[in-house]
Amino acid sequence: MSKYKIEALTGHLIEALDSKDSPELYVEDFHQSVLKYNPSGQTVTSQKYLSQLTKLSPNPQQFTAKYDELKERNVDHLQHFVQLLSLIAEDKKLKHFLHKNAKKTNESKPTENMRMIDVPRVVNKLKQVAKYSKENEDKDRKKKTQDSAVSIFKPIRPTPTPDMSLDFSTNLFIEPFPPNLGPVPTCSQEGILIEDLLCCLEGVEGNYIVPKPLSEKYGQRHFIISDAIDPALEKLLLNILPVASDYSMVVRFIEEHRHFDCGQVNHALAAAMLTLVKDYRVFVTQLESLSHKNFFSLSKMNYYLQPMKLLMDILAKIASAVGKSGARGGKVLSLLHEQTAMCMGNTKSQELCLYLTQKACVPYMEMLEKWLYKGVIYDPHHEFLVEDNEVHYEDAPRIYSADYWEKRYNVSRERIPVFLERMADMILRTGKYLNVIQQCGKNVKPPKAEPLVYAITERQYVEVIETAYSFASKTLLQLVMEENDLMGRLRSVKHYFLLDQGDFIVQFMDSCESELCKNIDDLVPTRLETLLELALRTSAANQDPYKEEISMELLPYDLIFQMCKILKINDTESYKRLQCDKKDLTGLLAFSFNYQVKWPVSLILNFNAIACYQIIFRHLFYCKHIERLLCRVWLKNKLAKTFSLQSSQMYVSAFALRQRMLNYVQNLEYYTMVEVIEPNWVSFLNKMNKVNNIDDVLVCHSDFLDSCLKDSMLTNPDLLQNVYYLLDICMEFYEFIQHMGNYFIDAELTSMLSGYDSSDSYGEVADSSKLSDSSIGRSYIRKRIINETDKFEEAIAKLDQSFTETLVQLVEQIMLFKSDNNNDKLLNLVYRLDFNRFYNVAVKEPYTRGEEETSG
Amino acid sequence: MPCEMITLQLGQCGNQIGFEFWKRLCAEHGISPEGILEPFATEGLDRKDVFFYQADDEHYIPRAVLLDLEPRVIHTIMTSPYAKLYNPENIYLSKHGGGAGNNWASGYSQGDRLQEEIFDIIDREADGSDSLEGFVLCHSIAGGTGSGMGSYILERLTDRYPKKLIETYSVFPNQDEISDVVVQPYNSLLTLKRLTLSADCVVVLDNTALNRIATDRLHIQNPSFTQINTLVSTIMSVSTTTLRYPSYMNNDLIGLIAPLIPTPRLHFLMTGYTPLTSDQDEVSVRKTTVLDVMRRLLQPKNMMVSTAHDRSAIHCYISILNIIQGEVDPTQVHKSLLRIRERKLAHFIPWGPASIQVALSRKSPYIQSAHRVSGLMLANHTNISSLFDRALQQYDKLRKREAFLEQFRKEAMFKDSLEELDNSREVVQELVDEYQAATRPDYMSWGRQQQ
Repeated sequence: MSKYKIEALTGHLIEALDSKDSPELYVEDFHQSVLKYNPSGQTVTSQKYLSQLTKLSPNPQQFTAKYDELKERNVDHLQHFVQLLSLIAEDKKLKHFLHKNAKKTNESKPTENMRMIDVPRVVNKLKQVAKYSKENEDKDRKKKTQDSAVSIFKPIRPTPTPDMSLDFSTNLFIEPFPPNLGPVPTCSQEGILIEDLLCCLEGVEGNYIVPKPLSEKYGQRHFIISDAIDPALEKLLLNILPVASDYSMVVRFIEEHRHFDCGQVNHALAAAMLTLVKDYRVFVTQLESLSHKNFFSLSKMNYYLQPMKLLMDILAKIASAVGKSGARGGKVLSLLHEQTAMCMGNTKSQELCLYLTQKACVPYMEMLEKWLYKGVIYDPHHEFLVEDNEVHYEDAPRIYSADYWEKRYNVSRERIPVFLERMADMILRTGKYLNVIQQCGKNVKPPKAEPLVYAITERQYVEVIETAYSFASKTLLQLVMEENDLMGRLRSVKHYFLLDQGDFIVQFMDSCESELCKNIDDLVPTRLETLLELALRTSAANQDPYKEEISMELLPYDLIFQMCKILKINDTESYKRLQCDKKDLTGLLAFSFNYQVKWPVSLILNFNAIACYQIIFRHLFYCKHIERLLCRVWLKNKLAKTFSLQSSQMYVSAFALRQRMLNYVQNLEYYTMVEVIEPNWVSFLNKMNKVNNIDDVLVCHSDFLDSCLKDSMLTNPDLLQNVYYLLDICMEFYEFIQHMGNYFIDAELTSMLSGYDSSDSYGEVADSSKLSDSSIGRSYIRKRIINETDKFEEAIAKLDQSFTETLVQLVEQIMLFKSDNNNDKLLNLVYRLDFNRFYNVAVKEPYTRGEEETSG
Repeated sequence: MPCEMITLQLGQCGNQIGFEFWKRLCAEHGISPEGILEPFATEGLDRKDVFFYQADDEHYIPRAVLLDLEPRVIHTIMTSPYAKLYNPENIYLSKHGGGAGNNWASGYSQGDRLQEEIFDIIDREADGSDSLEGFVLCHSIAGGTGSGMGSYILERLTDRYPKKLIETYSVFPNQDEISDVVVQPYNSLLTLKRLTLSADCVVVLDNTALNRIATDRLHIQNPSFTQINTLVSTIMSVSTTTLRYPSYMNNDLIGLIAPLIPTPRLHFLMTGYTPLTSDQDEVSVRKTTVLDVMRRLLQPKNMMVSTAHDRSAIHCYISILNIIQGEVDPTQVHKSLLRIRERKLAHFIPWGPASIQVALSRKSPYIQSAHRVSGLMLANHTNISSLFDRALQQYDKLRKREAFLEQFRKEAMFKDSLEELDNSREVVQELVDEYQAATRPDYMSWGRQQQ
């Protein structure tokens, strides 16, 4: 069962139980317990559970009877169900709970003693409802759509006309009563009985042997034989009559399963049976003509009938098994396969079973061949093990979302014939691969399309399936990796999204920064696009053959918002904060690259993957931006060296703070790029060298992205918020210094130290006003650290204090996170940030440091 | 094209190391001595345009300005196979060709006289680049042209291009041998003042240490200028490698320098390089691990600056940047850093966070190296002050005797007073003091205590 299905079912179950927990919690649990409770020796354990249950049950006989009945009907997952029941029976608490609940539902019933046998029934019902509700829904929807299309062609099922049947026609309400044969002398009785028997063998009631009406559809046919028959004859009669009742069963089955909606497999099976039944009828006619000659007796007849008895017996067994379970498609084949396996050792009956199974398999195998060699499903009756959940998009498949691959085709477990169970996954993928190749407009020609024939041993078709599979996976892999140069594209994506090609991003930021600092509404996307184009052509990215695919995108939310949304943070306060943030989004926070991918590369570089790349890109892009701002501060500061010693020393605390910020930003970048992305990329490349099929590629790629996201703290909202808070402080520091810039250049310290007001200075430096504009949108979210009236030193001290506090907090969080999640990688960042144990000291006395600086 | 750098080569020494530097860059980028791109290098992912500009499809010309007051070295260059590499308009030779006579004052005043012609060249070069990031100045601080004219040009560059970076590769004189330039202490001191006040980043190349490394580590008995200059060119090329072979980080000069220099005056960087091999001994490929490289870089014997042991202060690193080249696994880098941290192999400043920054860089694919991993360290270490201290002492010795000052008095600058010398001494002394102060935790409040 696919993961999605399990999740959906769990959701239903939880809903049914009136709980509000999220299904994800349980799905994990299920996976683990499935592994735990899925031992290999199923039958043995089920026997164990069964005996246990029988012991516990207050009414063992009834229970066993019920079990046998269910078993006879070949109910799916009976063993698992028994296992579940026995587990419930052992678990007193659960039992009590169920007991209580069941009482509640059954309150109207006067039965006070809730018997063990009832509990399972209730559970059974519950389970089945939960299990099939989704399926049924799906089926209903599908049926509806199909019905509306095909309803005209749907043949009308003839109302059963009992007299047209080859079976006995009996009236349910009138108990037949054969006339007494007593008056007839024994020697004449034999002839009469032979005649009657011959009738019965052909499904016509005799005079003295009359069929009883059926209690259920696939029940055994019984006969009433007239009284007063010679006991010897009666013995013989009873020996022969089972053939007649078998015949009745088989004929009933054939007639029932010839109908349109029983599916191709049942049609084939019924047809195969019919040929055998024809032989049988010819044989009966021969018997009849023999009977007209002399020297024919009941014992002779019995003798002649022996081989037919065997045949009919097997046919009836199969008919009843299939008929009772109402099986279709794969399940019919499973039943047939079991029958065949059971006949092991009895050559004749095995041959017969094999014949039937092979015949019944023909349409199924044809479907399988089509799927395996062409990637096409032709399955009008929903019998095939692979389901096509095609959704018709208006566009070409390039816009298929990530779950296309997961959801388009899946295996429906109930429809897998037992003998294909092991291969089901392989079968599914073979066709899927071929399908993709076809969607690329390629013609698939498998090397040799060997016909698939059922055999009792798996070896033959396993081999065929395996060759088809390896061909399909190889072709598709080649198509994606070589013809569409997946690795080249991924490398190109890495250049742009993971900033692997630094000069490009430097160049791009050089030209775009001023534009990007504007509010998102004032941005001119076309201008950005031109600048992007320019940066692409003039940097080393020019060598990249896929540079055309890159484009830009302005998203209406910033990274934190996006991450919080993805991680489903429902904290109202932060949500509000993020909401108002939206209005004043700057280009810088909204900017992202986008990448055009064509089918079939979009299978790997799907929507989700690109979104992951975008998240990483935006993170790195913002870090780079802050780094550049701090470098700009450095450039401004370099003038200070010509100041007199005293005056330049006023700035040392600011220099030190800038250094600390730069240290933080660069280490963060280094950590993310060199210690997270690059090693993950290298291991991704190594894994990619070993992949055999496209599914491996998908898994490898999503693993790569997942670990990148996880290790760069992007998936942890607490860490991420602090990381960004620190960046915000850097931003505020930059604005402050920019703002002071004019004074700085003049080195008129007296005027500066007396405080500053914003009215006159923001406009002066054109460059800085643009940039500070940009950041207002962001920094007002959090309270600005600096007040307008703060003196230079006070302002720096305040920034210093909150920066240090937050950084120490971040370091502590990482340590905590590490011990919780056993994620060693984040520790690297701690070591890098605090290489000379500077913050170790700061941790001990976080507040005195700030004071020291203000006082000094 | 962003982040272009213009190289200025001044004087005998500056032109010699510049020559070696360009030779090396050409080899790394696959450019022939004539400036033609080699056919094997057309598909490279390197950034040639940081240091070269393209005249046509395959013709690359260095963004270099060659200046000298005497013709000897430039003539040597112009007769070498690399003669056609340079733009002839960028080569400036003083017309009278007499040189500066190893006199700082002469060089300085000639710089003043020739500034128009020189800045014509520099401005043209600067105009020709899209977004100039800065200048690289190669010179020595002891001679006449490199120190004197270099000082003048430094001052003018800061005025004219206040937003550009000025990085110098300054060769400090050999202390072990007696110099034939008697006024060397004066020259050094005067240049040091300009380096302190006008340059943004000074990579100190100490001839003492370079010679020592050549004899001790490379086993060359009497190292020639060329051999020493090869060492220098290695340092110059590796320190710019992240600009030329872009990767995740450090793709512009500012991003490289800014974290190294927390306070603007303390911008004198030491370098170290390992493994060192001369071109004679062909060593078989050795297994050098990242840890080996990073540990060796912290050993004083690999440093290109010879610093005296100073008992008055516990000297420490203000910052370190290691540029590691070769096949390096980032996890190894991390492990090495942890080891260094645990064993406290490097002593850092107490007043701020400092760490060993690592830049992983690609190598030129066209140069075969015997070593799997190699590393360059750029470090800001307070002990560099001992070098300045030594310069001060030597100056004081001469100054006390008022020796050799008549040469200086000939020039207009020193005609009336020797105030400039005193002023320079004060600036250098302050620099030494600041470096000393940076070793202490109270560095933040140091300047104010002085009041």
